[in-house]
Amino acid sequence: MRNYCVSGAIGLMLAGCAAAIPTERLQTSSAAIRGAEEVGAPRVPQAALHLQLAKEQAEQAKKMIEAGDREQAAMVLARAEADANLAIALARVVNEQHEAEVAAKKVQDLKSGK
Amino acid sequence: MNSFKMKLALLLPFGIAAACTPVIPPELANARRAYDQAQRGPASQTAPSELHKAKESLDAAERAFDDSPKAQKTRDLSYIAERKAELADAIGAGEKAKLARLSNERDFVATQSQVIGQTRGELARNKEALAQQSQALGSEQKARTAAEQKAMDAERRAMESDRRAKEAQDALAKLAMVKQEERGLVITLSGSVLFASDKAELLGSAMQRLDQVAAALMATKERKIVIEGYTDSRGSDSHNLDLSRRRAESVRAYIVSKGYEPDMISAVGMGKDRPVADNASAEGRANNRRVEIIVQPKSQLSER
Repeated sequence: MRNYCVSGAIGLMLAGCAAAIPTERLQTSSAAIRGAEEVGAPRVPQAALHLQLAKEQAEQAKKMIEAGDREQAAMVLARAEADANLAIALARVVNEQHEAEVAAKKVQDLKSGK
Repeated sequence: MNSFKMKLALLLPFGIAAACTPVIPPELANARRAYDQAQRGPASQTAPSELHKAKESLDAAERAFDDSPKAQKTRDLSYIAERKAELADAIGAGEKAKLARLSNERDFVATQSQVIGQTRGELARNKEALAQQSQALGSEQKARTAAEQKAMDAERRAMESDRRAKEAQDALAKLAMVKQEERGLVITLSGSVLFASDKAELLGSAMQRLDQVAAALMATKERKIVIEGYTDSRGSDSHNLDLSRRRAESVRAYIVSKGYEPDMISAVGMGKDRPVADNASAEGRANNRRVEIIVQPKSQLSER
């Protein structure tokens, strides 16, 4: 009897944990997707691809949560978040590189006396 | 049959090996490749912490693979590990671009200040050129002033020469009677002062006076001089002519001996001609016995 209780408590805790993880993941992954959209990922082809993947996986995860497959959903959300973060970084690289080029051109123009 | 067995025996080790080596999911292969690429990229320098996170993610995928190679979890963790490796690579590239931008911006500022410096330098050079120009202008003015000075000096020298000539005339006036006539400056010396009666040799006392006359004549050295000897009306004309000529010659010789150019000085005997006073009186006759030194005007220079 006591044994059952302990097992039940552990089971509840695990269930609680499993239930908590997708909610948190859902928040962080959707935040990353919004972030990617804000830094202009949709305009950078490579970043846009990963943003699309992130969005699709986020949708997939929501369906999994609705279906009660929380553990699987948490993993898909982690994948979505990884894609969204990558989209952010790729968009930023393009921005940085563009700015660096602009700065280089300014120097060149100044040197050539324009 | 025998042959088949042999083939089987040969293939057996490969079969065992294949069975022992679990199939690597493509996600893990991709993750390994992505991490390898990120490691060789700029991230190792510019984003080492991101690269470290990617390594942890890859390690998690590898552990999952060791535990259960075929599990979906292994594939998911590998997928995430690949993205994290790519993320590290992208962040590394972004940081590199950022550094390049910062460097370019610093370069811009440096170039700008260099340009400003150059402009200042040009300004300074322009100023210097301007200063040199005005200095050149100054020296030109100086040269002009020098030329003017030279002209003034020449004028002054000309005036000086005129003044000396005038002084010479004044000196002559004291020694003898000096008249400015049409034929030139006429210096009249009394015959009685220069010569003994009926003689053509200069008296010792006459020498001193003639010296002064000669010195005065040196001031007009470039002019022709004619020395004319005159007598009074007593005695024969031929004697008078001869005497007057010899007396003129004596004076000429003396002036030449004092340095006057012989070609520029001539002597003529005029006898009793052109008396300046009445021959009836002793005083008149004394005045008529004379030697005239005619310094010809400059305009007559080119005549001969």
